[in-house]
Amino acid sequence: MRKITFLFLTTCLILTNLTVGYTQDADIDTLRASDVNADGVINILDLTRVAASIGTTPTADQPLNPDVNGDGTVNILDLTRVASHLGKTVPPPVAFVDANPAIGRQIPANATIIVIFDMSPDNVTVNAGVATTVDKTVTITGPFPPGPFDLTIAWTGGSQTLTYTVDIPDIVAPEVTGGTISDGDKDLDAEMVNTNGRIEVEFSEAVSGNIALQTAAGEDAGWIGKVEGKKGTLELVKGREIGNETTYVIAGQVSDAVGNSTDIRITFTLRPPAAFVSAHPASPSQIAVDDTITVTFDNPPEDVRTSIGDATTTGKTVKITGPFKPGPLVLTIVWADGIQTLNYTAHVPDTEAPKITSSSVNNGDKDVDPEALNLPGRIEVTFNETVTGNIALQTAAGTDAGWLGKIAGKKGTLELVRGKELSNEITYIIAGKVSDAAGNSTDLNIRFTTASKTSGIPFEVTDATFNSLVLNSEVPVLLEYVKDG
Amino acid sequence: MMRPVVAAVALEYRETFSFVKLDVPTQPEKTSEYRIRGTPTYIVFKDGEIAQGFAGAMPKAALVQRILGSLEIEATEEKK
Repeated sequence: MRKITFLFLTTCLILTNLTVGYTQDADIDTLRASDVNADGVINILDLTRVAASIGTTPTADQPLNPDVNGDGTVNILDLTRVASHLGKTVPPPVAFVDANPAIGRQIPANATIIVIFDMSPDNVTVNAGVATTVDKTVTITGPFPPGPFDLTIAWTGGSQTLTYTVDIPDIVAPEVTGGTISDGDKDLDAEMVNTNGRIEVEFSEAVSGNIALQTAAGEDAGWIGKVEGKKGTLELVKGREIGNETTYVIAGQVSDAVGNSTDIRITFTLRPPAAFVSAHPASPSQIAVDDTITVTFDNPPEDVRTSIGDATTTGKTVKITGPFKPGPLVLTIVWADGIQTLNYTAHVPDTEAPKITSSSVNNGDKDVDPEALNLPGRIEVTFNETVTGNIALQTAAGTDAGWLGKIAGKKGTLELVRGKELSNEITYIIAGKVSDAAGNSTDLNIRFTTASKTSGIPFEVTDATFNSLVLNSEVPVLLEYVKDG
Repeated sequence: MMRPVVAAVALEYRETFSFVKLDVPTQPEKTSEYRIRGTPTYIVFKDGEIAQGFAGAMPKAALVQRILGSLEIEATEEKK
């Protein structure tokens, strides 16, 4: 076998000497495979290396691989292949030198990657982007797919994989994330906004653009707007305090670094100022210590405080409850927009019903001389306080006796109507009902009975009753002629 | 004034007679019928007839005597 190989090698050398210089145009890959010892020249040393390995089965990635034709076995065909290129030179492969950005870096999707070689590469191809080769430099421009990205660049004689992380493209417009005032805020306190003198708007990312404070009609409110970083600010210019309008708008437009823009429109309303309208009970007046004072405003008041009592605000109404100290009462109400003083005199509530302090006749009286009431023609009932109501003189059966009843001040009076004189032996009732100013009431029920006509009190007869009462009487009668009753 | 005296007598003798009065100015018919000239004037009626008539003030005892006398009744010790 060795003899055969030697003969073959010798033959090959002869052939090589005859053909050198005529086969330089062979495929570079074939030449590189034939340059088994990779010394740049295909010569006897390569033949020797193949011959020494005949019969073996090297792997494809084995350095200095003697399987020149790549069929998996080192044999005579490999020797023939090397022999056919003996004497030829094999140019060294173009080598990757560097990349910018460096491998492993994070790059934007539209980045430009510059790859440097030690020599000008041929047949450059890339798996993403567009490659342009100028001398030893290959420029690869995106876009590249977002996320982990392997850029494979291949050229004649080699390839290189560059690993990057490509940024996810920013297509999100900046957003308002917070600030002094939110869109839709209602009933803001103008004084508080003016006192702060500054309105801030916060964005989701750094932005540039403009911002302004406007009225609902779109007129500039005169505040100085500025956009910087992730913040927009509006600053009050003296004399341009807000409050004349109800609705204001923070308007403008901001853009992020890649040009995504957002229109800003934050609308808010101010709380209308509240003014005192009325108080019940009215000021000044008298109130009970446990009364509730109701104060009404034209708009809902804010931050209501009172000098005394407990204040409860519901809409436009503030209820102030005691108990209050008896005596003069100065109630001061302070709210966000003003102050009001109310004057009262507090007193302990009257819960006692009116009482009868005296009366012409008393409840339960018997043998009352009717003349003692008929002659003055007036029955009086006196109360311990001023009352209103009604009073009447009735019989026990509830029939009105016909006297005129009147309540005035602390007195109730019953006045005789001629012909309605009280009679003997009748039970009368002074009936009615009276109430004091606080509404406490008392029912009147003064029952009295007049004396019998034989009780020493003369019973009055008239021309009409004379015969029946005097002449037809079964008992003797003493008749007294009198003048003026 | 006679009223208290008469009233006392009437009360004392309420079982014996009844006591009535008639107002002269307003009851002219029975005033003129009995020819009343002044007040107070007293008439004692018994069974519809005049038993006694008298006028002017007098002590209680005299009044009792006149009334009871006209009625032919003697005053009791108690009531004296």
